[in-house]
Amino acid sequence: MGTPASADLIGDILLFAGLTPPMRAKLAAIAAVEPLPAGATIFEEGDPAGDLYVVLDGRITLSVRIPGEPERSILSLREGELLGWSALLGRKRVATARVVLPSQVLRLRRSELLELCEMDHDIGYVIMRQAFEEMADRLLATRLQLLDVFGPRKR
Amino acid sequence: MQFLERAALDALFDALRAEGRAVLGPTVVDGAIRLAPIDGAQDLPAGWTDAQGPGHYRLRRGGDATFDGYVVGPDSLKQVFFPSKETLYRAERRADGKLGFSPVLPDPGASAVLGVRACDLAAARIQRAALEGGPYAEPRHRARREAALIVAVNCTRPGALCFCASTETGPRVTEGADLVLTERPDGFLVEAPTQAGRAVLARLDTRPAAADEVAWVDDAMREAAANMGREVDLDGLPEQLFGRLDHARWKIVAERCLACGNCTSVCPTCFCSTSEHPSSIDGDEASRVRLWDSCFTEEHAYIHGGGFRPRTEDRYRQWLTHKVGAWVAQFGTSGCVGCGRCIAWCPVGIDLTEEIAALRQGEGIAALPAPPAHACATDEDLVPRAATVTRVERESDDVVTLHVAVDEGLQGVLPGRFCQVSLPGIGEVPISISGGDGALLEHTIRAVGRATDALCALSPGDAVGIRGPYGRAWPLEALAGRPVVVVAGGIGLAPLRGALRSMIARPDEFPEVHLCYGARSPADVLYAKELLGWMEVPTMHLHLTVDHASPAWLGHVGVVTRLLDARSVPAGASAMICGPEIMMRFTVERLAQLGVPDERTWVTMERNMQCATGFCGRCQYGPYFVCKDGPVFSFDQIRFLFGEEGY
Ligand SMILES: Cc1cc2nc3c(=O)[nH]c(=O)nc-3n(C[C@H](O)[C@H](O)[C@H](O)COP(=O)(O)OP(=O)(O)OC[C@H]3O[C@@H](n4cnc5c(N)ncnc54)[C@H](O)[C@@H]3O)c2cc1C
Ligand code: SF4
Ligand code: FES
Repeated sequence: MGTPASADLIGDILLFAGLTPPMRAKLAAIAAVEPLPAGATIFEEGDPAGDLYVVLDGRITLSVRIPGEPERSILSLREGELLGWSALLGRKRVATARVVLPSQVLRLRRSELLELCEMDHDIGYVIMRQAFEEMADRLLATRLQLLDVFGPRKR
Repeated sequence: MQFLERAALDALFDALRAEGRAVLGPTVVDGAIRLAPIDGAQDLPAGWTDAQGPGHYRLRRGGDATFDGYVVGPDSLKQVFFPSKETLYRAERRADGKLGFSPVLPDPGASAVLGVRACDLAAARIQRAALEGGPYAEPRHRARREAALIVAVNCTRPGALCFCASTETGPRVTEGADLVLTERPDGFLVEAPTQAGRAVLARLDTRPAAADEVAWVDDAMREAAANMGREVDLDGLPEQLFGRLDHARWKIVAERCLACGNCTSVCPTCFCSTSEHPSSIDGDEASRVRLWDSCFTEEHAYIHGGGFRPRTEDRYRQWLTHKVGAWVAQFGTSGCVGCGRCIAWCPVGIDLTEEIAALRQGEGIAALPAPPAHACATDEDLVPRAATVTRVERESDDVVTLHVAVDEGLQGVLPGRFCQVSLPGIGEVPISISGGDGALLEHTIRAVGRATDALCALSPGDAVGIRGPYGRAWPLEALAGRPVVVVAGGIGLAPLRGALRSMIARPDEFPEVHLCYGARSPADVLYAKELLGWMEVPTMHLHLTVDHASPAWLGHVGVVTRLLDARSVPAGASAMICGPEIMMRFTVERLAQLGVPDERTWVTMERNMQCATGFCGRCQYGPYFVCKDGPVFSFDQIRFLFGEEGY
């Protein structure tokens, strides 16, 4: 599925700004650009670890199931953001990813990505570092959400 | 200078009464020297001496001086000019359903206050700065102050807790008095610095003082200044205190402090107040009553959902950093006059001179910005105007927008400013102007408590009270010509709506406006219709996010700071922010990363408010009053305090 990614396209992604042209080429070799129609589900909460994505455009939301309550969207991702970081750690999917607006994603095949990171620690470092930055941003945002900054609702 | 025989002191009372003045003076009441109505010299505490120490005040017999045996008791001119409880206005529901508000203003007869010390005259000057210094003047305070003739006394024998020499507010009377007495064994040396004082003096049988008597006064004052029981070093203190908000001493003093507020009650300069809204059983008549308050109470820093100063150390720090710190920036003078009352009347004997000395030992200096000067002082009687709700728009399940017609119209309706919106018997609350003009105001209100619940339940035709508008508007003139990023969280969109409307109406000055708005959920998005319309406006770029939603929601999900990136924050942009304080904190950080400098970042602050005019002290924020210096601040004004825990 999708079309192969070019090194140029990789270079345009902010996330990979730290990569040299040869590194970009290596990454391009394991990546594909995939269009996704609105309504599609990329993965579901509880699925085994899968591929890593970068949103190229459109909008994808992460939602969680809370027992006894309707499913709830908790975060939307847009251009330039990383999706499915659990791939890097080999964990199960922690949320469901749904496409809400027609989107394009860059899909990085998990096993090859991990292999690449192992073989070329420079690439591995850049990717892990970017993933870590994203995590830090999201952690902060989650904290704010948890604080319920709008104040307790009364009724 | 004249000399008055001791035996002729009663003549002074006669002279004051001849002018129709009621006389207040020091007299022994329940074991303390209080300020109370007195009839003649026999009521003065002649022959009494006070022994004062930390947490200690005792009267005993000793000596035969009339004024010189004791210093200050718990009372000061504060009680006289600013009573501990007074009604500000009455409200009644008239037959036509409208509200009638009538001010309650004192009609103080001429009075005279006897035996006032230098420290208390300095304190009266300081209270006057707070209550009459601008931009508003409290007419009740002024009326009482102007009606009083002051007969002051030079202190020749300072007490164990006195330190007015180091605060430069005594022991010699240099301001605020009409007559000044200096006591000697045989009588009183009398000076009359004012016309009113000279008129009284003219009624007395005195002789000119001899040269050696005049010299004696100078010597006695010098000696008194050298004999202070305590001392304090105020030099550079504001900068030190604000640079040491984390000083270990705050915790240490908080272990002893009971947060009882005695210190603030006896302090002759403390002016904080709160208010109540008693009403008749049938609800047809109500009033607003002002009462002294203390920054040591939990309510002082309360806003719905919690308080800013939960711990005793927060409150003690608030008190001291204000009294001898921020006060200097606000009023050009320290709030401490060296009277020692807070030391004597503290049940656990906390000694502020000791605390100050300990806090001076440490590191840390903060530059204290001076708040904007308020050139003029307009009379403000704190009485609402009658107004009628003309329309109610439900925005979400706990927010409504009231359209309110104010009978006499209002001046200065600008986005960012706010009004005190009131319901008799229920309360008065600050609510931002979310739209409208002088004749028809829009207020968007979230039901969170007693007053807002009642306001949100109003229907067209219902009566409300409105006073204001108050505070500083968004500085649209300063923002023009650059891209503007507006960041709003929840009800925080209300004070920004008017500004957004103005910017949309002036596309030449505001060619690129980004609104980043975060709401709790899609159902909580305010002004939904208007937002839809704004999506069509070429100069306006709308970025909307909600904290969570159902999967059917196609918009952004996540906190508002996630909307801020190079797309929504163009190079060279200025920013306006309103929302919960914690949201503003993260927003400011994010904007700074994106290159928006502090001086082009504008925020609105929220603190408990009672008066909105600078009188009640509730909205203190470091050197600022949120009500009169804010609520809109540029971030560089408040950066040094913003986000400080317990402030
Ligand atoms: C400058 C300014 C503008 C505001 N604009 C709006 C607005 O446009 N829309 C809106 O819904 N709310 C606004 N608020 C908040 C609003 O004033 C409070 O929600 C309201 O005072 C709560 O009063 P209550 O009696 O319903 O709640 P309670 O919790 O019963 O409060 C009791 C009292 O505490 C004080 N108090 C409580 N919360 C606050 C607070 N947040 N700020 C100041 N004093 C408080 C008031 O004196 C109030 O009467 C604004 C606050 C400020 C300071
Ligand atoms: S310092 Fe003393 S008087 Fe003041 S609140 Fe604390 S215990 Fe009470
Ligand atoms: S001083 Fe009273 S609200 Fe600001």
